[in-house]
Amino acid sequence: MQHASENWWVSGLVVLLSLIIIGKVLSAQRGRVPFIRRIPGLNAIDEAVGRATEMGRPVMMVPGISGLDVVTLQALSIFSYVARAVARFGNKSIMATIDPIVTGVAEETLRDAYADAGRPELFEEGDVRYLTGQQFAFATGVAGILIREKVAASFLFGAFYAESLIFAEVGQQVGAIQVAGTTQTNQIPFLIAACDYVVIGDEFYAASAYLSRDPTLLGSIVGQDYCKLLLLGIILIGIISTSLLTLIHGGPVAHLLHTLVDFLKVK
Amino acid sequence: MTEYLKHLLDPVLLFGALGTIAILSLVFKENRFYRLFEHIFLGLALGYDLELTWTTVLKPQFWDAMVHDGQWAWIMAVPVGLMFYGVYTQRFAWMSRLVFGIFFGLAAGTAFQDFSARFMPQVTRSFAPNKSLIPPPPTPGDPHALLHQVSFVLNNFLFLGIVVCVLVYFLFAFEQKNRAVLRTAQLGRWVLMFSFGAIFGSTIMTRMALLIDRMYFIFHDWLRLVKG
Amino acid sequence: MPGHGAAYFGKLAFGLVVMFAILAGLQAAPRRSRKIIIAFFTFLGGLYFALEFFYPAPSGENFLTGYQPLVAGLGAVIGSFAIGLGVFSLVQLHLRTLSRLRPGWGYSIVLLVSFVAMTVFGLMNEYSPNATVIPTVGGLWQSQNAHGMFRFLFSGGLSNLGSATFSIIAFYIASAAYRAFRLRSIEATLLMAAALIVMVGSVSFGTALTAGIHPKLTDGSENPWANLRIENIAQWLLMEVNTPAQRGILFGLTLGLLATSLRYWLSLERGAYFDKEL
Repeated sequence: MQHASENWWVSGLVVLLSLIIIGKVLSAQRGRVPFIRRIPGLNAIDEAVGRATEMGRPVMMVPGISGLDVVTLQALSIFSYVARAVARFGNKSIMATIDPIVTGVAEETLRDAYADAGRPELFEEGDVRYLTGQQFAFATGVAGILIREKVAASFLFGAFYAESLIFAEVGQQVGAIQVAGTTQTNQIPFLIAACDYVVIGDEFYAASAYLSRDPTLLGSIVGQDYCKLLLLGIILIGIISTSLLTLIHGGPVAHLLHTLVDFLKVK
Repeated sequence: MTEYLKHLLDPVLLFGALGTIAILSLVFKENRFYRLFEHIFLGLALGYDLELTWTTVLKPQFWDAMVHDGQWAWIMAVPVGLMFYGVYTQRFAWMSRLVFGIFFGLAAGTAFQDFSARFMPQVTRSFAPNKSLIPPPPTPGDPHALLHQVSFVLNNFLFLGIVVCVLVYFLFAFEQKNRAVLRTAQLGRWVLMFSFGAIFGSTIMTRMALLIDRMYFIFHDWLRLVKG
Repeated sequence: MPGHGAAYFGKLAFGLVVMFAILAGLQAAPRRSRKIIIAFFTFLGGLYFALEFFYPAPSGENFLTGYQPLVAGLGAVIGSFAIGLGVFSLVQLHLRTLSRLRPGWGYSIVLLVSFVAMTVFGLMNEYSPNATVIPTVGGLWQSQNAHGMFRFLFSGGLSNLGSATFSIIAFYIASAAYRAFRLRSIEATLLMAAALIVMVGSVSFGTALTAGIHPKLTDGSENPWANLRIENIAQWLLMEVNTPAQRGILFGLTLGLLATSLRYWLSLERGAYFDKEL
């Protein structure tokens, strides 16, 4: 499907899902701050930054290897919190970037996070390092930083591909505590094997809300949950209707079920 | 100079071979040899970035369009592009945020379009997935009809059960206090681990192939110790 | 500019003046309106994609579809101007290391020389590949043209170094697997058990283990026990366990993508970057 007019039912659903999310964001902004459950792994961020500070070694952040897209922006949003923790502890952080625009946004994000934590002086030029736009050259550069800077806490959030294991294994070699999360499901098994904590699936999108406890972000997560329940409900209706159709072969009920199943199918 | 020595010292091959050995040496320990090639690699890649930016984007889409095709309005992209550099000044820093903002909008728009046109059809395909929980009538003459029907039902229940468990695990707004919800979510996490294991297992061999390819380069292409 | 007269330069100058005037106007706007301006342009940036999707397209295209290359081109061209942010970031770091003779300054020289060489020979390869860049020195080496130098740097260096880095993952995947095997948790056990089944099921040594179970019975009918052949178990795992689990993840991920894109598009996002006074 390329356009809404090809299937108005699906595009209507897109609008409905969007409205649910925006509605929950607005209601949370008006003071109805929702609850979200514990996400294992994210509580380790403060512990990891604290330990790195005690050891007098820096913290490393890698916002994935894609350009400026929504996934990278979400990663930077998570790193804004990590940077605030780094500033609170009075430690130093290094962020390696693969895209020039992301480099600019990352510099501003870190600078603002440090200022927000009351330690603007801790931000130095060179804390955000553009390495190159080439995937594996970037990987060797990150490996070099992890080793030479003796990084003690490494955070990998964003879109990672095959190189994820290089970051995670070299991080292991230097003894860093590692917390990771990616939208690339195929990389999650390797991160689980090599990192201390991994957030899975859309825990990645929930991370910034969980860490910041900001009503807007919390509202957005709750909106997503309602959307998931809606989709699950539709799936159950679809499966039950399909199942009943194998039992009922004629009559108005079968006709109704046929219509429903056909309606749910994407042409 | 013998032919073999000449081959070994061929600049392109020698550069590639030394580079490969240096990079692979990281597996044992970071060392000066690795560090040297890491910096060569980064420098080359950065230069290549610059060259690619010019040859694949700026030259064909901007320079040639403006200089050769008479599309003078492209000149207006220059001041907008310069806004990025406001990040280095206090006075114009907000200007860089303005252009970043445009790119946030582009990124969000692309993602929205991706969601609607690409992902949503995938999601809705699960709505009527031909996963009936009641088996179809047995094929006449099938000696294992019962087995087929049982496995049909079990597989489809399993499919549905896994989707439900995983989705319940990914619900954030509900405290997992209720024992049934907690168990379902826990089961969801275990299934996820099992599923990730399957991905792990199916990737191992492809990664090994990459190493074999590099070994082939060193021992066959360069050293010519292996025939074939 | 070949083929263009003074009138064309006038147009270029006009374009520049108009754009700088707009920017000057924006700069002169009251500070309190800056966030609104940014939010407006962010919304505008995303609007095209939403409109293009929702506007009826009976023949698979609508009047906005044709502008897709232009929008993508504009984004790519303006985005390309940011390359300086990246180059400046890395070059400045290494120049500083060099000027203060910090430990490892020699490597900074290597990086800078490689960078300049690749840029120069890369561009020369584009414009004058046959230009001689290294003259012949009798008996020692032959002359080298720009294309040859680029090939040396690209095929010899960049490409091989990339493949070598990719192949290093084979070692790391083994050490990651070893580490996961040593973990004594239910989750790690499940992960590695599935990994082992799928891996064994995909190599001939593994399939040989259960090759004794024949797919057909003596009467030519299908052998139900053949489901227990390792490759069939692996296939079942991938199709019946991995697929629905990935479907569940996909739901969450796509909704997360939708929610995050909406927050950015409508400037609802929060955090130090967005809350800062401009």
